[in-house]
Parts: sequence; structure tokens; C-alpha cells
Amino acid sequence: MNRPIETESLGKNYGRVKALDDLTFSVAEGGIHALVGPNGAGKTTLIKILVNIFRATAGTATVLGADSTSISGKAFQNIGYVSENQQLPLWMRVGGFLKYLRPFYPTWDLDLESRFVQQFELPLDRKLRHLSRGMRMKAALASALAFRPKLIILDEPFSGLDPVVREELAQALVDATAYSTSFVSSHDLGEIESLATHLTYLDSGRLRLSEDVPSIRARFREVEVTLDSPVAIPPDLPSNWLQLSSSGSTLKFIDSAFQQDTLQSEILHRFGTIQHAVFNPMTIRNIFLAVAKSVRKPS
Amino acid sequence: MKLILHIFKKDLRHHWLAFLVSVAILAIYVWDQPRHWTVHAPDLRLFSNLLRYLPLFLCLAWAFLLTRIVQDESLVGDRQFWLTRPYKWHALLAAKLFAALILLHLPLFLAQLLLLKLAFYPVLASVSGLLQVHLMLFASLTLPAFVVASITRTIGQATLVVLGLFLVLLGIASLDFVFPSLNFSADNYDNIQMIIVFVAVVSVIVVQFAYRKTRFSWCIIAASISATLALVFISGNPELQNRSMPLPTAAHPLPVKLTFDSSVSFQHQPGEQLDSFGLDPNLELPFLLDGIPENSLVQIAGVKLDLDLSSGEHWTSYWHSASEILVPGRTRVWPSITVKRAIFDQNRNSSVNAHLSLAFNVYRVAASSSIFVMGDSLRLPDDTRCTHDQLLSRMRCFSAIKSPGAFVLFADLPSAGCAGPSDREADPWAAAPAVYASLSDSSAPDFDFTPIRETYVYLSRQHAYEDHATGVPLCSGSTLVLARTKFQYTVRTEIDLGNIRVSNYVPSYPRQIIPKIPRPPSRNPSDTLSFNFLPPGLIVKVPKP
Repeated sequence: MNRPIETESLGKNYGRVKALDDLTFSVAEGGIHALVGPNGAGKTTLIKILVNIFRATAGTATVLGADSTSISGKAFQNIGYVSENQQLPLWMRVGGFLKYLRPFYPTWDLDLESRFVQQFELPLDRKLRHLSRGMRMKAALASALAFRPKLIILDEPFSGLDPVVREELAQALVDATAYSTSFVSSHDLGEIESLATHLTYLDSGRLRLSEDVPSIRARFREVEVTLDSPVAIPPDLPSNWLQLSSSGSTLKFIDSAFQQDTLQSEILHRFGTIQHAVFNPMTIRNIFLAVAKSVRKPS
Repeated sequence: MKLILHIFKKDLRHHWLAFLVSVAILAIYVWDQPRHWTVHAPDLRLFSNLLRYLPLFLCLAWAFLLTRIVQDESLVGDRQFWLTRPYKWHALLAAKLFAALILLHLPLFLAQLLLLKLAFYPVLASVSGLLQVHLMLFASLTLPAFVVASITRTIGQATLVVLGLFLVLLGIASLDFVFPSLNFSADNYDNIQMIIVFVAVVSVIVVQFAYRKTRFSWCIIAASISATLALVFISGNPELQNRSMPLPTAAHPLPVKLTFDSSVSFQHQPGEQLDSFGLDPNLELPFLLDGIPENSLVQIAGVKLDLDLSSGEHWTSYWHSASEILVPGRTRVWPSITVKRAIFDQNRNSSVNAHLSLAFNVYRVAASSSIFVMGDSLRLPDDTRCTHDQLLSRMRCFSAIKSPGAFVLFADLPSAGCAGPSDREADPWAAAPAVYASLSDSSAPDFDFTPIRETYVYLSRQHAYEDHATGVPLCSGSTLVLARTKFQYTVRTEIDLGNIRVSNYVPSYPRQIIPKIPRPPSRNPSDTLSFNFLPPGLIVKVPKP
């Protein structure tokens, strides 16, 4: 199976509100696939549909080859799921919690469990209710990784955690890529940018972007062109030119389908001679900001 | 099975304290029960009063325990950790049911065996009856607790739901205040209601455990309440009520000949208030009685009065339940029916045309045998052991698992050797014997936590005008005629009373009937059964001990 997650025209309505609209994307096997988007973008709704907590209003979702609506019981022996607002059995001690979960998973790896306990410095004899938010998240993550799931789904796992804990969790995720695919949501790109191999960007329930990171980086450029004379911005510019602005004879925009030769000839074709042109690579953060702004205010 | 036990162990670890509390209450209950088998007078000390509420405390403790256990893997909400773990819904449900069996039913079962042993009843012979009791408990406490717990997240929510459902049930039960026709339900509708509720309960549990569709579950609950409500109204339909109490046929004749005796009425003193303390007044209508077949016993099961008022309006009381027993030897009966106060006040002094409907349950009385009160004890069928409650002139009877089946007791009491208080002398007895009848012939055990069933047997005898009866004393050596009864059929009769004056039939206080009815011929009191009044077929001569 090379697509652990696939959706086709997926939609979810809450009354008249469209939480997800016509979502079609897939997650490639291996690596860490980040699902990013602002608050209310529909990330949690999407994840809860994938793990069959919610039902989609339209379309289909497939998880590890099975229709998401059939995901239950045994299917979770291959899926590790952790959410920021998951309700854990707070009355249990950490050790008791891990011990309780073991029999549910034939593939539970005691050595791996011990490694996580050590790595995360989990206090086995302390009740979950007495743990800090970060420690609780680490305990949840340890319980979701110790059985070597084929698919790890994390919903805002880093939210509100201090940088040290965040780093520890991130490292655990990176280590887990050896045997699984991770699908991690976050509203803060900075939290996840450094470890993501693929990115999916959701905004207002719609898919804006879903690609591997190198391809995104290669596709986006900040373009600054100095022309011979001041120009007015013509109306029918290519749709991949985002956030176009001009100041005197300087034209600035972001190209979302960057290919240097094609772009140069397009500029020449539209504006005549070019005095100077700069094509700056962009950070993922800036790319997403540009996409978000272009969606809300089309240039 | 491994996972079921695993989840159960986790639940036990979490809720061991609630379990211990329930066991402690059960232990106190078991300790307290034998006291009830021997002590006659109620003990009013605070602790004893608390002990009376032990069954309630037990129910609360069990309901709490079951609710907490089910809510440990809450079926409401989308944030519980277990939703994305490899739980199989049927294993989860099985684990929770297993917990109910082990933590509730098993301790109670053991406690019941112990109580049977303490009461010297055969333990092994009672096991199948006890299992039936536990099926009832399962259906009436365990499953409803599962329903409430599966549609709520917390104990607080569960309490609110229970209160809400209780109010709905109270509302349904009170409907007959608004719709008098609902006072009397036609046959079999109770069974249909129970089936509807059972199906709804099971459906909600399965839907919640398998699909966690709480809204859908609420729809099931609402639908079952609506269906129950509809059935209440359907069962109160006069046509259906009449159909369940058919008119006599050749196969099912009227068991008794009734003639309205318009020559007698109650005599009221001038200015006597007939307002029954402001309540709706009760009419007692005099009938002459004849022809109760031998080997039969008749129960007046329902009464309905229709009045054509002087204003031209028609008023009906609708059917009301009754339970008066008529045995061979009775010559009069006074069916009683309540009339709306406003109707009574408007028509008390005028003549109204009245029509009475009576429904009878007819029972066959099997061959009888004589039994005797030995010292202060008496043995009844089904290993029922009675002791004499001197204070209240009755027998306190104990049996295992279920009350004794349908039977009737006759006795020629009071007698020379067993007389009542002297003040009864002014109010002579009727010729008909003293009677006690227990007509429930259900083979199912009685639903109670204790396996030792307590019933009271008290014989009562009509006074001369047969308009009221009084309990008769029981003494050592008193002879009783015991016979099994079996339900035969239900039949109804319609009687036109002609024009009556309703105020004539409101009992006076003290009761005074005019004109004086000739008293039955006096006879010498006897401490043996009177062969003059008991149907010959009922008598089986047995030697006196």
C-alpha cells in the first residue's frame, strides 16, 4: 500500500456550515505529512473523519486501504492516534495506562515502550491526572507509538507545549518514520515545518495545497523585476502570479509555478525589456502566507 | 474473552470502592432480613427506619456502580481515548455486562441463597426461581442503567436523565386524572407496553455500543415513550375495554344473578354532610345476589356507572377497577363507584336514570381440604409458613421465591371458641363464611431482593347487610377450608337501575340502612366448619388433629 490516506471529494457539513468542501488528496507512504491551516480550517474534522469518529457528509476517505467508515476495533491495531484534547483515563497511573493498553496490540513492543519511557522521562507511578500537559502528551504518544503502527495520526500534538517537549516529540516522530507514516496537523506551521516531508494546506475547509516539501519549495519564488519604465498592472496576468504589486518601474509578485525560463519569457512578452530580475526562494511559512492571502484577496 | 476480562479487571480496579459500598449495603440487608421474620411491631428508632430503605440504597448503589462502569468508556462525545483503540464494541458490551453479572447479580444471588438457608428453605430447589428473579432484575435495573449510562457522559447527566424519565413516567401514570377513561386498561396492553420498552432498551444499548449514535438513541427513547403513551390511550378506549369484558354467552354465562334492590338505601340524619371531606362522593348500590355456582368464586373486577341527568346530559364514570370477592352463600353485594362532585351536587335531590355495568372474573374452586391453625402457626400451599400476628388478627406468611399460588380460604369464624371483640355483637355476621382469597395465579416468581416472600392472610366476614366486612380472629385450633382457584373467564353485565336518587346511596356515618333488612337466622356459634353454608363440593373431611 503506497497511499495510507486517500480522500475523494470529501465533504462535511455542520448544518449549513461547510467544514470540509470537496477535499481530494492523498498521503504517500513514509515520511511525515503535515496538515496545516488556520484555526477553524477543518483539520480536526478531517482527522476525525479519517479515524471514524465523524462521518463525512459527502465523498469518501480511505485509511490503510479501508473505507474510513469501517475503521474500528482491529483496524486501530495499525493506527496510532493522539489528539491535543483527547480524554485520557486520568485515574490511571502512567505505568498502568501502558500496561492496560498492551493486550490490545499484538505488535506491542515492550523494548520500544521502555525506550519511550526513558526518552520522555515518564513517571510510571504517577497518575495521568497529576501530569503536566506536556507529560500527558508524551504518555499518549508513547502509548500510540509503542505498537509500531503503520499510520500515526496526530491532531495538534505540539499545541501549547514548551520547546523542549516539542523537540522530544518531534524526534520520536522522526524516529518512527522508519516503520510508519505520520499525518500530523498543526495550526502553527513553524511547529512542524522542520520535520515535515509533505504538506497539505487547508483553509476554510478547502484544500489549497498538498505536495512534498521540496516540490513546494521549488515551485514558489518571490519575484522582483525592474523594468525600463513605470507600468500599470495589466488585468489578465497568469493565475500563478500571486500578490502582484508595482512601485514605479519595479514589479513584485510571487510565482507559484516557478520555472525560470518560462517566467522570464512571460515577463518579456508582457512588459518588454527587463533591466533586472531577482527570483528569491521562499520559506515554507512565507509560501503559506502568500497562498492564504491570495485565497482571501485574489490579486 | 481475554479482552473482556481485561476490561473488566480495569473497571474493577477503578470502581472497587463503589463495589465495596454496594456489597456493604447488601451485607447489612442480609443481616437485617431475618429480623423481619420474627419481629411483629415496627421499630421506630432511627437506625431501624434507615434499614427500611436498604432496598432503595441498594438500587442507588448498583445504579451508580453500573453507570460509572459503562461511562468509563463513555459512548457520548468524540474525545475519549478508547474510541481510537482496538476495542471491539461487542467485547466492550460483553465486558460491561460481565461486570454487572459479577459485581451486582452474583453478590445478590449469593446473599439470596444465604437468606434461603437462614430461613430453612431448600436452596437448590430455589435456584431456578432465583435465576428468574435475576432475569427480572436484569431487565428492570441493569438494562435501564445501561441505557442511561450509554447516553450520558457523567453521573450528573445520568441523574438528570433519570429524573426526566421519572417525570415522564409519572406524567403517563397520572393521565387518568385528566382522562378518566384511562383508569381501567383493556387486556394485554401492559404486556405490549413491556415488549415495546424492552425492545427500545435493547436497541438503545446496541446502537450506542455499536455506533455511538446518541441522537438516534434519543429518538428511539422518544418513540418508545410515544408508543407507550399511544397504548395508554388505546387501552383506555371504551370499545376495547368492553371487548375485553364481553357480554355473557352460553359458554361463558353470567356467574351470578343480580337484582337491584331499590327498596333499601342509606338513612342520613337531617343536616348530615355528604361531602366526604370535599372529595368526590362514593355511591354504594344495593343488589340482591343469587346463583353463584358451587365450586365457583366470582370477583367483581370492574364497575361503571352511567347517569342520564335531569339536565338532559349524559355522565359516565368510565370503568373503574374493583376487587370484591363473591362466594356461595352471599345474598347481597353493594358495588361501589365514585361520582364527580359537581355531578353529584347538581343532581343529589333529583331523580336520575342510572345504568350500571359490572365486570366479573370467574374462578373455578378446586377440591378443598381442611387445615388447622396449630398453636400460632399455619401451613399453606407451596411451603408457605404462617405465624399468627396476634396484634392484627392476621397470619404473617412466608414462602420461598414466590407468594403461594391462587387459593381461597373459608372459615366459620368467629366461633364460640374463637370470638372477636364484644363490640361486634351489635353488628351481627352474615351467613356467608369468612373468606380470604389470593387470586394471582402467575407462575413467575415475585420480583424482590429477598427470596423470602412475606404475605398477610386475614379472613374477613360480611356483616348482616353484607355492605361491609370485618376481619375475623384466628385462634389455635381454628379450622379453615383451603381450596385452589383457577381463573376461568371474564364477563360483563349491563343493568338498568331505573330512576334513582343518588344521595340515597352515599353511605351514612354511622352506616344505617333503611328499611331494616331481616337479619339472617341466628345459629349457634361453632368451632367446626358449618356444612350449612359451604358448598358440599368444597368439603373434604379430614380428622381433627
